[in-house]
Amino acid sequence: MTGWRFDATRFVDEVLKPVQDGWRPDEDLFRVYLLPHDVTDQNTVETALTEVGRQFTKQQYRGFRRATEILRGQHKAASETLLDPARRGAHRSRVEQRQRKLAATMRLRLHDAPGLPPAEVAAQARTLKVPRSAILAALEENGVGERKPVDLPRLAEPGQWAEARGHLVQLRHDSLWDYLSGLGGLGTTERHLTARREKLRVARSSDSAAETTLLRLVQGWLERGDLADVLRHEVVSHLLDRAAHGYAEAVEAARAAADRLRALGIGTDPTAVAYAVWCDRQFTAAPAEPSWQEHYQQAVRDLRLRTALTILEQQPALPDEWSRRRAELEKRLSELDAELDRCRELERTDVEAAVAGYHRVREALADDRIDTALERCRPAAPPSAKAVVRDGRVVVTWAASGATAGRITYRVSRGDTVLGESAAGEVVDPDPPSGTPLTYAVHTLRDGNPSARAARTEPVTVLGEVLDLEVRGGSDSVSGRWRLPDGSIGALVTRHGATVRDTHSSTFVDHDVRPGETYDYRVRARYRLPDGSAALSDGVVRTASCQEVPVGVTDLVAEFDRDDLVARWTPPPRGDVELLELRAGDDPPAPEVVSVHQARRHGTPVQAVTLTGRGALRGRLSAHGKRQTIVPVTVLGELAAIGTPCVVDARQSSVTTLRLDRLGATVRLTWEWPRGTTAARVVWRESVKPAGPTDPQASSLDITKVGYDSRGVSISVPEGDYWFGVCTAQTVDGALSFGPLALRRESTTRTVRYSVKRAGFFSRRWALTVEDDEPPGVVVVAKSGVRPMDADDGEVLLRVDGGEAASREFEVPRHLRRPVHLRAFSLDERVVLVPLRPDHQIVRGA
Amino acid sequence: MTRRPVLGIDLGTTYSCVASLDENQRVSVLPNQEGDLTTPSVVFFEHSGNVTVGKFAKNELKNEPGRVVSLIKRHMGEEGYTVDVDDKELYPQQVSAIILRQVVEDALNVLGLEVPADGPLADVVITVPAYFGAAERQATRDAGEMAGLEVVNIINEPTAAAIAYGLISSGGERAVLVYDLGGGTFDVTIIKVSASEIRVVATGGDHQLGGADWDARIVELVCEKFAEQHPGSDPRTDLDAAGSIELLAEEAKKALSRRDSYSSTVIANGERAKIEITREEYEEATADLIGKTLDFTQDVLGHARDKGVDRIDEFLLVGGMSHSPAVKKGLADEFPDLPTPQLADPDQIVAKGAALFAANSVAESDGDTSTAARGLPGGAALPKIVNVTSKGYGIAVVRDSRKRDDHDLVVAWLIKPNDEIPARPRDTFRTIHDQQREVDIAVYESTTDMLSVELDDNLKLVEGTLSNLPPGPAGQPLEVSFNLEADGILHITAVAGNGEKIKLEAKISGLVPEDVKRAPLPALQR
Repeated sequence: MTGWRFDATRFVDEVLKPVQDGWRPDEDLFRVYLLPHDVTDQNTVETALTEVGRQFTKQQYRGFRRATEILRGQHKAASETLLDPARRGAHRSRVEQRQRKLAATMRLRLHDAPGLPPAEVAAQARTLKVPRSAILAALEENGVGERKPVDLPRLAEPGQWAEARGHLVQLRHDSLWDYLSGLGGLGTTERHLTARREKLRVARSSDSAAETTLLRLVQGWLERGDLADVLRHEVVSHLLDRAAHGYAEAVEAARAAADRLRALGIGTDPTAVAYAVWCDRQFTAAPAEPSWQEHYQQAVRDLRLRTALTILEQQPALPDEWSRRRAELEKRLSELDAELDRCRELERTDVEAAVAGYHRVREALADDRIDTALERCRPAAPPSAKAVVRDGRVVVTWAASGATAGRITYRVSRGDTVLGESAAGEVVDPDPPSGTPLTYAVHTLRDGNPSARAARTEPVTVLGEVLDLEVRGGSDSVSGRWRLPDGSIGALVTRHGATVRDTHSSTFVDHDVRPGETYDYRVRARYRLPDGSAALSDGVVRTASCQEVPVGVTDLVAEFDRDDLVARWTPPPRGDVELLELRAGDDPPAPEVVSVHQARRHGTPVQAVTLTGRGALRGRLSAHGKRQTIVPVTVLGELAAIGTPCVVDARQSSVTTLRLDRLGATVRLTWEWPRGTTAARVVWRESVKPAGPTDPQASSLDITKVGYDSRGVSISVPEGDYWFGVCTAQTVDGALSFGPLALRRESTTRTVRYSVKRAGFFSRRWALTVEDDEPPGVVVVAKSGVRPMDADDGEVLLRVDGGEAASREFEVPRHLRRPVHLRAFSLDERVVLVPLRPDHQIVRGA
Repeated sequence: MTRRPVLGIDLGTTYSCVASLDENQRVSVLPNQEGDLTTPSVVFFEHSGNVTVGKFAKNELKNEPGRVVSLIKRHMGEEGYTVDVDDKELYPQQVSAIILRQVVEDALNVLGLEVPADGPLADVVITVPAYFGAAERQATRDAGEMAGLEVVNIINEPTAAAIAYGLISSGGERAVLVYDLGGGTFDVTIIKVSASEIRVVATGGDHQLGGADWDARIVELVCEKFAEQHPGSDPRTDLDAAGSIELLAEEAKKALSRRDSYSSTVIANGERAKIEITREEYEEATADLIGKTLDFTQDVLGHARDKGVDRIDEFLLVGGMSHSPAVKKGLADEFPDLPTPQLADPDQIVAKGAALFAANSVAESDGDTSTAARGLPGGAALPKIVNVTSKGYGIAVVRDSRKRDDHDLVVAWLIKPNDEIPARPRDTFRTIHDQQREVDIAVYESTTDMLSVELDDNLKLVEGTLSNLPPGPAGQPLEVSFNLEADGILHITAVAGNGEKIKLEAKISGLVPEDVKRAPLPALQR
């Protein structure tokens, strides 16, 4: 149990307020925690720290928020200092050092006086930012204390006092008291003065003139009953003058004037009086009450002239100058009152002139009457007002009011809602309610004071448009949605003037559309007006197109032509067809309509190698020698239709340029292999086309490409009519599969010999001789450099129909580069022409 | 089953505001039981144990100022802070929970809903200044839960303002400066807004600077003028008068934004004085406060320029103090190149943005993909929100690696203010002594957005010791990684060369004890 108690008043006066005003609390932690400097008991310190610490968050100290924040912030460090004896001792030393410094400062302030007045103690506390208790302690350290001075009479300087003083000096009197002591002293009467005046009549000198004037002044004071006050003023002024030199001087002077002081009722104790005058002279503490003059000045500055006049009227002995001022003030007030009365009269006939008058008077006089009058003098309302709907907003305009005096503005309202104040002639209502008649009121404001009435507009109705309208085209329809504005009961949708039937309050669907066509839709909000009639807004227009759905290709056919893929299909009615090479390992997509982006993800486009037309493409695949799936995709706008895929395998294409050459008993077959193909089958059958690669009635031969390249293919068949077929062969999943069978016929019934030689020595003509009774039709073909392979393989030099002469001549044109090989071919495919001397059939010269 | 209401709450230092979406998916502010659109964030603790919140609580400042708690948001998340009322200690979270409970019950009343007997009253999103750190955000969340609310999210006030202004639905990407001067906190944030993202570029501010400081300056003016008429007398020393002076100061501040002077009578210490304050005096007394906000704004613009944002496209003024003509003029004079500021509903815009965000979040988590649920124009989804940290984070290292003085330490910053979060930096540090077998890891947080390397200028968050370092000469590497997530909680890992590892988590300060969190709130007086 400690004897420490929390003192809220001390806490506020000595801690919170000083800290709020800027004092550093870590300068004296004992003070902050209301502890004596010499505290040693740990319990006491802890109790104080806890209890004071709690105060920092109490709400009743909200007026000292800054102080409580500062104190809270340093509480931890303060606790550490105060709880540790060594640190506490060190802190104490610093605090006591400051205290000694304060005592020395007070000593200088005291100037040997017996104390300081309370006001000065408070002032020093404020100035030095220490608590009152610290100042008192410092005074005590100097052997003095706080001491209230006795009251001294505060008298205004008497009128013409300076003149009186001058006369007294001339008459060699120290004071009026001194002079009067030669008459009746404090009890001087009229009789004393009259007697003295009589004596002065006998001599006429400067002294007598001065004394006569003095006697007149004294008489005046006597008549007013002011003489004692004048004498009090004199002695106090004297003491004040002496106190300016120090307390000791004041004491000496007061002691010397002790009898005077007593007689005048100022004080019985000269030292008390001396202390009072010393305090009065020494300290700059503000006077307890401002003087009437200051009140007066303040009132005049505030234009409170009536108050100023009252102050003057309340002063008892108003000096002349002030009396003059009073008279002037009375006159001025009278003029202003007259003007106010005039303005009051004017209110009945010309309010604006009255207001202007009140404003003028207000510049000189602060008076509640004027404020009341101005409240009364409301401005005229505007003569007219108009409201117009524009783009969903309402623009309110009005004619200017006749009011001119003061600051004129206008307030526009719609019902209870004030839309704005403006000095200009227009206000816009940015968000008016729709579908209901709106009336706007315009009040004139004069310095914020509204007119009694308002100009009202004719009702206008805003028919707001639908909000957030979106219209979009589907595959078989166009649809739209929106939000209805407040007040609207529905919507009307038209397309090129015709109503869209399937319309709801916030949506519509138009099925009556054709794919690919574009339509304009106007959506108007519907309203029911108070009179029951219906109204429509102007409408919002949006454009949308019906998205046509593409049709997929179902008859894609593709085959290889050497390295090129040739694809054909029936073009769909609309859209462009792209061929995609399906990604390896992917299953073909199902035929369906998807977005273009999705469709194209299924594979890579087949690159076209030449210009292609609608329904055909010649292109190259990305890889060869394997099975690939081609997917047709019809692209139309944003949609794509996946068609029926087609599987191609270059290795299973048909062989090309199949040739059959009979060389005696054998027929040599040559052909072009499709890229990637490694095996083929040759089948042949007499007189009849082989049904297929596995025709049991046909002979067959399997050959690899390697074998073909090294040995070629020659088949022994007797003369006759034979069909030969060649197809690619491939093992797929363990089974042998074949490509398309390319067929050729080779028919031979007989062999006919022929010869070609020069028609004569040095002849440029050559002769063909066919050794046969019934020569077939023959054509002689020439080719530069190599032997012609067939009737089309070179330039025809001679054509002989069957049955014609067996020997004919011809020339070898010069333009053919030598050596030129000649060869004859039968036009009858059943006849094979064999040259007698193939070596003679080379033309080397002309 | 009727769905729980979804509300957005601006829990302000001086005023709070609640908004929600109506049946037409329009956002509107819900009035309180007095019919006002904002509720003073003031609680009056009655002798009976009941509490009153709002206007009537504020009125009690005239009668029993010691039982009225205000400006509590300034202490949210502050370690060890409690208010003392009736010798009872209350955590800031408790006071905020009472305010939240009152405003939500008022909102339910307006919506025609009963207060449920059990379960959360509503799903809410509560806004906080962008400058708030992890402690303050957690404290706000705790307050919401203590009030019986399901706190869906805590979002930044400038982000909410940007959402409410509809910036995300119009135009391309734009840079927005949000100047939010509220009752107790000042936030200035630059965000980049587009249809897909709201990204905080830089933020700054002072959550001890707001309208309440303007009020405090007026209180000082009043006291000076009182002392002119009654020398040596300070009306603040009359504790019964302090509340009235506070109310007068707020009234004067509001009046001086519209008028040239304000006068009233103050009675304190048995003395009476007529006080008149001119707008000129008021602006002179508060010029430095406005100056502070301009300095912060300048800093944030500088940080944004460092990040490549050279141009501001939109300028929003938020917060009640933005009405002040002096603030607007100060901004126009200091930043003539900024666009004209938009000032619409500065008191309510944050709550509206929070309501839009709340509706969107709840719709997403409910799996409601209908655009109507989302509430934004055109039915758009809310963009992704990318935040930055307002503080820096680092560890203590020796100042001079050559001198290797263990006692002369400075902070090496791994995360700087305005770095994007989540932030996951890492850096390699080294031992300073030969055969050093352990190292202290002390993690610091900056107290402002200006970094200082001195330890004393910063706040130590957590420390630990990593032992069993591999033996070796000085210079052994130590990898330190930080992980600062959106919730503001910092995780630290330090790994030595031999794999020895220590993991630390920066504790959040100012947490309320569990028993306090679970305790029921006092009854609200109606």
